[in-house]
Amino acid sequence: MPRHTKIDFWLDLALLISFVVDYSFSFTGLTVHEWTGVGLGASLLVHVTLHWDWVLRTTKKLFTTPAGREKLRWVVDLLLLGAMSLCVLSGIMISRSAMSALGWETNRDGFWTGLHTTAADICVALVGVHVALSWRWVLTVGRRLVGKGSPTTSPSTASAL
Amino acid sequence: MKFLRHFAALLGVLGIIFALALVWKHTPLASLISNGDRQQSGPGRGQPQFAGGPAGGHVFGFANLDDLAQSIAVLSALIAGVVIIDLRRRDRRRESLTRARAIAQQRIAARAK
Ligand code: HEM
Repeated sequence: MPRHTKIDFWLDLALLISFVVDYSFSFTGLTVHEWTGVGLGASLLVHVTLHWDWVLRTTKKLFTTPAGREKLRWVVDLLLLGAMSLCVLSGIMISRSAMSALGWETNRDGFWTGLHTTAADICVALVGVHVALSWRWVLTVGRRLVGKGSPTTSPSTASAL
Repeated sequence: MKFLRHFAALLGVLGIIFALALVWKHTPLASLISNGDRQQSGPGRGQPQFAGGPAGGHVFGFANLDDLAQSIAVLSALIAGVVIIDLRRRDRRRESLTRARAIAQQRIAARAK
């Protein structure tokens, strides 16, 4: 199996687990929640910068490709990118712990709080669809990693979480 | 260099997303998501419950494992739902392909006679 497929798989799994844990606010508590969110935001920045060509190519293709599974996947991934950005940005706007530790007192209000929780809920839905649309790849690579099945390449969007 | 260029482009897009959110905040449509009295008023989804003391003070509220379990359940249900729809769609596609093939073969056979 190609090295990058393995990296994609473990990175996606780590992002998925961090996201689910971070979404469980009452479990993490405020401080862990905020720093995990900041970490997810930073990973998102690096990840999307490294795949910027993909973002541009995909956005262009959206207008030229007929409807189908691939197009659905791209729409979901681009929406996920937007929702995740909104979630982290609004999280920063309502921060009570992480930002003040960095010396910035935020001016929390109902709009940003509402946006934050709404964006988080939308992200959960999109993450679910995103993972589900790649379930064959997940199963094949997962099986391969535990020693069964045949090698495969990564789907174009496998790591767009 | 390329990384920096792409990074700057991404920051630009994030800036636009943030600016759009700011514009939204100042339109009547803001009330669609706004949680105005949430900080002052009673419980609900928006009032996170902390088992281990004050909000900022604890690391992992294991007494609140329910919350984590709920997130996992919601996500798993979603994934299962989409996978089932996907499988059904694939089955339907296969069936119609098989049917189309059978019809084509019948026609070929009829013509051969
Ligand atoms: C992808 C990342 C994130 C996800 C999925 C997420 C998800 C959530 C969810 C679901 C809640 C609602 C808890 C509830 O009402 O029961 C919440 C609340 C909160 N989040 Fe995040 N969050 C993320 C990132 C961040 C970041 C980066 C910060 C700040 C640096 C942050 C700060 C907060 C704060 C302060 C609250 C409490 C809001 C309140 O007072 O009701 N979040 N988050």
